Amino acid sequence: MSMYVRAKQDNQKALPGLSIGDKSVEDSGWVLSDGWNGLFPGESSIEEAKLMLGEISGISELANGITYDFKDGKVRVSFLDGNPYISKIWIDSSAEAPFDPPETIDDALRTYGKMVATAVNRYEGVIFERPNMRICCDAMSDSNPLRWMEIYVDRD
Amino acid sequence: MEIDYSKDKEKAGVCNCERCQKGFEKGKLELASFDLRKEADKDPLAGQISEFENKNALEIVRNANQLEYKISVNGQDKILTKSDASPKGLAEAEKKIAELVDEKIKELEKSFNVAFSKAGDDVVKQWVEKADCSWERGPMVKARSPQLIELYGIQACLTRCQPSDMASTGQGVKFHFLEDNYYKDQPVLAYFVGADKDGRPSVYFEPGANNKKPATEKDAERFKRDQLFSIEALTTHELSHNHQAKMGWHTAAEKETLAKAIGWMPFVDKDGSTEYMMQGKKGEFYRYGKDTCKDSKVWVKCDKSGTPLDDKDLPTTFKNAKQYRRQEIADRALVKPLTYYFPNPVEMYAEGLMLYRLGDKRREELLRDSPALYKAAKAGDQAEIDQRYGKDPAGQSKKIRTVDGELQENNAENRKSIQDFEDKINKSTKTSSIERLPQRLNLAPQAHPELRLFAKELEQKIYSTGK
Repeated sequence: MSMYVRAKQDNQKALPGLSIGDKSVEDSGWVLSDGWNGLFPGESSIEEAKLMLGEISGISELANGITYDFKDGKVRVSFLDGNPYISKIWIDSSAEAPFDPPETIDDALRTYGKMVATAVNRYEGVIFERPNMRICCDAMSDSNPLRWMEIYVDRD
Repeated sequence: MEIDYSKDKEKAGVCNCERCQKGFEKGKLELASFDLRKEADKDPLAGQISEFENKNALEIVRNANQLEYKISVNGQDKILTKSDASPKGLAEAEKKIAELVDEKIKELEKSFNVAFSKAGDDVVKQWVEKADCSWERGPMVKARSPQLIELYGIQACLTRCQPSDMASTGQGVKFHFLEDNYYKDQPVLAYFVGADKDGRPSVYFEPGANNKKPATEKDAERFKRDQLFSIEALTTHELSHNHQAKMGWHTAAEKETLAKAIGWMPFVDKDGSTEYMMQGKKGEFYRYGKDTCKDSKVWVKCDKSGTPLDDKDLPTTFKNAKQYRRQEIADRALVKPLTYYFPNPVEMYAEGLMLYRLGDKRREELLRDSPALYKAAKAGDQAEIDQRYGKDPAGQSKKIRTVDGELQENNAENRKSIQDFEDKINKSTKTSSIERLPQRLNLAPQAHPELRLFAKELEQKIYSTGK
């Protein structure tokens, strides 16, 4: 887990009555400028990504950009055509994932703040969102383990 | 004019126009239905028979004082049991059918390492979409008992879907037959999930998913039903998703590679999500989407950022973009989808693998009409087979899937039969594409004699060189 996230978790008080998508919960959670692991979508470059994540392990073409894989594809950083700054960071949240991401939906809610279930994908799981962040958890298991999370710059 | 619907068309003097012909057919059906109702009025058992047939998805044939209970399996009638034509006989048959269901379940569980939920079991909490388009869990959905015809359809699938009948760990798939929809008020046919509440890969059949469906593809053919309408085909599609779970389709980087192989390109959408667009033959892109969650999804042309385009290729919304029918998209696709169901690369591949595994005619159609999808399905299938059964010391796969869809030893004879099949289709594909050449070039015989001559020379060259 990143220093930032760990510090935030330590300081965060238990949110009373926390439930998924509960709008009554006061939200003082993660915002895009908090970044992830020292990287900031919209601000960080590929050089900074390499500095923080190590060597590139793969490159994949997008229709509108390019994705660099780090840590054997466990972390993926995407850039859009004509933009030198990170558009999105995707992080594998499975058990073997590097950087110790949240393990369950409850962990994620405690760490990042309230989220709303916006889609149910039977293959990939349930998608929860808050501004500039999307996480996916396995809906079938009682503990709702996280599969992946991504933080991104909104282009709307 | 009064028409006697009990006579055939000619004797009834029906005019030949389409409207009269349709009217006559309708009248004839209504008469038949009326006759049945009259019969039912006379026979108090008729109502119970009809109810029994619907409940158990079988046909009851009445012979004097006997009832014969039958279904069609693998293109042939199968008599399940017989009873007296009486309420008591029906009750006895109901018990017997339930025993046959239990026996079939035990047989399948023993043969294929699969499992079935029991009636009344808790399966999964329903998903409910709220007014604001977010989702929440609803009540627990219970299981119902499977019908015998469903079990025969699943059996036909399992003989051709190995090793997708199990997870990478060797744990077999579980089949659940739901009493209610998985997504409230959003019925579909079936779902594959990587893990049910007990962590087991599972197929959920929705209520009514298999109503009026034939058990196998052979039965669909026998009753002249739409192709790929059978329980066998539906289950084969769902188990293709288990194949995908094992072969990297659920891993972001690998999914991109696999999707590209069948003509889909990933892109980062405006909302930051990674989505897929279908590549067209001319390098253009199409996507299936909608503006808001309340809209229905539509196929549109889009730019490389996924923005929908209008008929002048200017950016717009899905609603205002030039929309295409599925068949139009299929015709424009770089890699042709062969069924109507291709909302994304995951489903298009699952349909391709389904055709490949159903074997024979279906595999032939896939190779002939979409060779890139055939190639992807064959490669993915063999990778999963190798993952399960391994390779010999010389690096050769131990098992291969023969043309009939079954797994066999990888020996010279089986390899040759596959090679012969593929060579035959490839050759006929070349021939038919040559035959279509003048039409493709829009060559009218009189208007373009030189071009027709060129096409003829080209045809001869392709025949002689095989290229």
